[in-house]
Amino acid sequence: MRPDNFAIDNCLKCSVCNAACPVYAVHPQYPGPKHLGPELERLRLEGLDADTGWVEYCLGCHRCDLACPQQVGVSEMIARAKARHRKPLVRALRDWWFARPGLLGKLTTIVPPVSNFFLRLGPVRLLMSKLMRITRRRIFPAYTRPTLRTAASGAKQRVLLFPGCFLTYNRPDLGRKTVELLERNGFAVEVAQTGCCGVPAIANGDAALARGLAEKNLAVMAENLAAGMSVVTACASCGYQLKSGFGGVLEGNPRLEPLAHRIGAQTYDIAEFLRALSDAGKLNTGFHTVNRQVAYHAPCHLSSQGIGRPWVHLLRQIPGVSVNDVNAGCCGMSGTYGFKEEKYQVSMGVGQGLFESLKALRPQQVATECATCQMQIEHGTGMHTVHPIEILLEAYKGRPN
Amino acid sequence: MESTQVVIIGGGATGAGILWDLARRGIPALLLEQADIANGATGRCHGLLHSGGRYVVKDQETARDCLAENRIVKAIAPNCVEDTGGLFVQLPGDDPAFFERWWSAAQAAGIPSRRLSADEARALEPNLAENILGAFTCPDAHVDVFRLVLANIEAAVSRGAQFRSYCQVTAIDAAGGRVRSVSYRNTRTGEEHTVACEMVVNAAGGWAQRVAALAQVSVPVCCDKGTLLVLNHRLASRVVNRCRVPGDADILVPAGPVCLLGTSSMVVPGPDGLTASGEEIQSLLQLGGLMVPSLAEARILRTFSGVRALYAPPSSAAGGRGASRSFALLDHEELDGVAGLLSIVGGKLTTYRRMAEATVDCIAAKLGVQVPCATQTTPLRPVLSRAVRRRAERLLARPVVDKLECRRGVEAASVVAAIEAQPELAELVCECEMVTRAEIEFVLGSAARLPAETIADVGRRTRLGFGPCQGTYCGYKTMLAGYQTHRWSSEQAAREFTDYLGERWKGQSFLHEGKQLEQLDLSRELYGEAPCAGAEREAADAK
Amino acid sequence: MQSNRFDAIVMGAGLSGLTAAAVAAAQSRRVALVAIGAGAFVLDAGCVSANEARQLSAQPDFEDAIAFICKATAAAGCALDADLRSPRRIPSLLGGFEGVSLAPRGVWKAAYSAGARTAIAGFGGMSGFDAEFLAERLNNHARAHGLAPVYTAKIVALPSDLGTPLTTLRIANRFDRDAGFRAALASALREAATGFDRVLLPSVLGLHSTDGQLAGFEREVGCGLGELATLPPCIPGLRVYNRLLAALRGRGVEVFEGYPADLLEIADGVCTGLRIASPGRGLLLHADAVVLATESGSRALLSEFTGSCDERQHPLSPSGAPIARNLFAALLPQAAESKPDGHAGQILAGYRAAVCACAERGEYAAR
Repeated sequence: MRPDNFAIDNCLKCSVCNAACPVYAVHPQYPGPKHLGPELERLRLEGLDADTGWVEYCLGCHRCDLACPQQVGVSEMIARAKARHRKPLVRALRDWWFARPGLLGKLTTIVPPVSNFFLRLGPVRLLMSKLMRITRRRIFPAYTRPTLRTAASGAKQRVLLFPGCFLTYNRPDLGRKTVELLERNGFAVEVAQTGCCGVPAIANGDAALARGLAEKNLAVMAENLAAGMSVVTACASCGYQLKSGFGGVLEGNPRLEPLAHRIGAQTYDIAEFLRALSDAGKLNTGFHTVNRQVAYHAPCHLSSQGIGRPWVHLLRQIPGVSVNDVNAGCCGMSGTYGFKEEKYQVSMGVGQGLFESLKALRPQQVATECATCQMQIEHGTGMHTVHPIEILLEAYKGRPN
Repeated sequence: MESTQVVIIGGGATGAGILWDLARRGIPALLLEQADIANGATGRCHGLLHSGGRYVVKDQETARDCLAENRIVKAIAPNCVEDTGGLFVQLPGDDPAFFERWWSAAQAAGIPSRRLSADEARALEPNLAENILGAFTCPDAHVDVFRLVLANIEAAVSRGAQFRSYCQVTAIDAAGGRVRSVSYRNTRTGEEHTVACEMVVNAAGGWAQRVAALAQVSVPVCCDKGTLLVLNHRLASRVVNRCRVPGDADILVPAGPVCLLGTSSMVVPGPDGLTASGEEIQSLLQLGGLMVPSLAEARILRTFSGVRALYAPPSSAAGGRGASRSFALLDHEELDGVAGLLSIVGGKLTTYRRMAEATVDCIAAKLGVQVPCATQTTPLRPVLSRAVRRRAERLLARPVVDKLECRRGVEAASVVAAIEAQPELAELVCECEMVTRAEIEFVLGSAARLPAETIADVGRRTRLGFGPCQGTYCGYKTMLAGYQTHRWSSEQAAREFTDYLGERWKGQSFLHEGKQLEQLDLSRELYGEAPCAGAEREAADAK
Repeated sequence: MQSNRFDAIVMGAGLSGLTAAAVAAAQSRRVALVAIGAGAFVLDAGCVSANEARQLSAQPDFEDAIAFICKATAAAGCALDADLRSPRRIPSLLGGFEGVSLAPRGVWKAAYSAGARTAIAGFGGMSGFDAEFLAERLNNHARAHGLAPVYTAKIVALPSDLGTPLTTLRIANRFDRDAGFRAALASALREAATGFDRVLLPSVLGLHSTDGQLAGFEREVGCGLGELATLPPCIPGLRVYNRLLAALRGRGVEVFEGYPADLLEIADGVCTGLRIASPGRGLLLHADAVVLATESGSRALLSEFTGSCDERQHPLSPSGAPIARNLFAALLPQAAESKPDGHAGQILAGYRAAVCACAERGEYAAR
């Protein structure tokens, strides 16, 4: 996608982006990506104040980009509009927190059991709903002490794991499982001491924060990047962010822009990494049989990485596993979006198709690699949902994790 | 037979300005225009409100006039003017002495200007070429030509003046050396009329000679064609001039969401049948690219050509850019013994009001009217009341309200009322230029002071179709609006739309590649290959 | 089995690309489809004009290609219907009749029918569609051609919460998601249809509906239904596109959506790979045969491409030789009279390219 002003020249006003937009499909007044992207951008270039509250309702799922036949780069225009958007105080304060899951993670994991207790408490959730417009119909994921650290390395080839906030503050066990998967395939893993990838910052309209995070993360990883190390992520959003040069927030920065491009070339989603091993005949295929029907939901930020469905390929290599690539649209959660009171209905409306498809399929297990997709599927269907890493590891170990 | 005191022929800026000045001074007048407003040079230029910078080296007097009028137009028609400011940039290879002469001449003429280094200039305008040497600032601005002409005519109509579009003058009765009446034909209905009058003003620009011939006098005009390109988005937020002796492709003007690049100069036999050649366009891009290299990648929406009608009395040898840009007011009573006939030729868009003032001073003297000119201080339209603005802001987004106010002025109240009565009329029919259904219906309806006759007329009054889709979607919806409001029958509506499309397509027909060609192909796919074939396409042996 | 190796890669998911992918999938090939946009489906549903069909009728495989795509789309649940011998008069955007030889079923069913009293249903508040305008124009055209004027406009009331502004896309989305709305719409149309043999309406019947579902809807309305062209996005076209893609996925075609190919690796007259311009590193795919079925993409990828192919659908270099043995382009040879990018031409070209690609026996992807 062309990142410069000329991308708006590509738009032929065909409205296919509107047809692909999950929010347009459920919200009768949402103007749609065609208007919030190229049309408002053109007005902004004219010098008009084209700010509108509707930009907040963009999920950031990138489906408009994927549907656009002209490579207009619609979602990035809307993200820039979000950054310029002025919110009323309550939403601004709430979104300030939502933009910083790293900070939130640090604070809540000082004494995780206490935080978890309070975050689940009915009256607390009621208060959060009234004061901060955080829906009380959802419960925050449990936080635990951040214990994901680099294990001792041998002489094996090293890869860098970009953990992201979810693996750091909520599921370090999943991080360890990612490490174990890579170790079982002959790699030593260094866990990067990076912070948040910046996707929540962009989604909540804080471009300056996203830039700061990108700079810090690049600084932490600079040496390993220069040494040609591959970077692996287990979160589709972190993966998209790294591959797209941190969402383009470093454009025009002569020092960091080249580095951001390099990280894009060296970043792999964990499934993409393992799939590449498999294609080269180097994947550890010592799988035990796991008799299971798995329904796999591809997160939107995986689709927008343009790498196909690597988890489907990997899971199908496990004897006994049958994988149904559900392909029933966006789940509607989009990270922090579904937690917002005013967006809850939209979120659930968007995910409706997916919930119905899953309920009709009645699989033995639902798998998706995005943490918030997992939350949403469980919330909307009651079906327990796992990261596909768990299934692969189960196949290696011969027993459930 | 209808009658009035003054008939003006030609609905460009000059004619419109004269109508307003006459109305302001209480002199009844009728303006006849053979097509729609600004059909000639006015509607086919950059819309540059000169600061005088382009004349300051060669013609200080014109420069001073421009500067004075620049300030006046900004004051009397703020809704028509985008006060962008301008730059005169120095390119390597251009005469450095000219650059210095410009500076001293600008000082002498009183044009407010600052000298900028190359870096400072590029800080203001990042799209300027890397190798510019420096720049001067100046108070250039962009004026929406259609809005300006409309504002003058609407103001005049509010005071009792009359305006008829699509009325072509067929005869001027000047028997016995005195103007008595003007006959005209409505080109859309074929009806013929005659209006008795005491004076006739020939403000027909490129057609001035043709009109003059109707009264058996001669007004020699040289038609100098200029071609411009419209680019899809603003490559500069200020007017960018090339600081050299005026030549081709040395002006880039931001105009709303688009920008205009021009222009060329070649003498042509007349104002009709103008085309832009591929070479002209390539030349414009190549030369303009010296100032703003990103022109090479920008999407061209359309091209158009217009003529500058330059007064070329037999004594002057040079045509084209050499000919004088100042205007000439010809009193045919003195020149040819035809009393009551005036011709006003030449001049610039920027000085239209001054030209009108000179003309109407002459008319007033002849008619014995003692009222002095007041157009230099009278705003063309009253400000929209805050109450109406507040009502509008409850229904529409702020940029839409701003544009509605700029375009319609106090008439916006009717548009707002229509939306309040029928909320679905708030829909933006033209999303590129933010035009609501209510506004389109208003402009097509009889409540408007200058109702639109065709879809292109709607475009001139609202900028509908001026954006990337060039009317592909909004033109269709406007056709339906015209049908639904009973303005047109279904057959007439379809004809209006295919005519409109044909005209829009013509402006894009030179394109051999690029995004606009894809847009054009999309339009052709939707409606059929040739403009009129869309409704008639049918297999010969279909059962 | 290597995940990045395919029997065939089809680049482009417009009419020619989807036809090509369907041909390859029908021959049980392992296919990758690189999709950047829905092509003609978005604009006008890929309708084939009778003129173009006639121009191509001499081509030996034209009927096969049309029959194939009609069958494939029908199997996918959203048929393209065709009649090469008797084109239909289909109402156009401007209320004229277009001679059409192939169209999505819903559009096909809107063809002129002399004996059928036809109601044109309009929805109040839609700026891009006017039933009365169309009815008048169609009747005028009918009379001008000596046909019976059968059209009457009927305004149908819809629930008010469908969206602002009201567009065909908003109604179509609601149709897909809300059974209650479908029932309400059916009953409103049933009422409008009293005294008529069939109803035509702007295309709003969902982006994901199957022919079966629409037949059921039609039964609820109680008379024939046909869909009329509106401004883009073209709902029936997108419906065919969506269902065909879903069917291809169901047959194992792997779809890579959203990023064009930016590199073709060609060495020794063999195309060894195609790189998709995904963010970051790009994605390299290999195949025994590569079919280029995009309008502009081919030219961007092959600098030496002259724009013409030989009879095996190989794109040719200036020397007249195929650029690669296993590279195919969905273009008609220049000798064909119709313009190569008309919809009939696209279907034929996609069909031919895939047939040739599937006949290619080389195992280049194994390298």
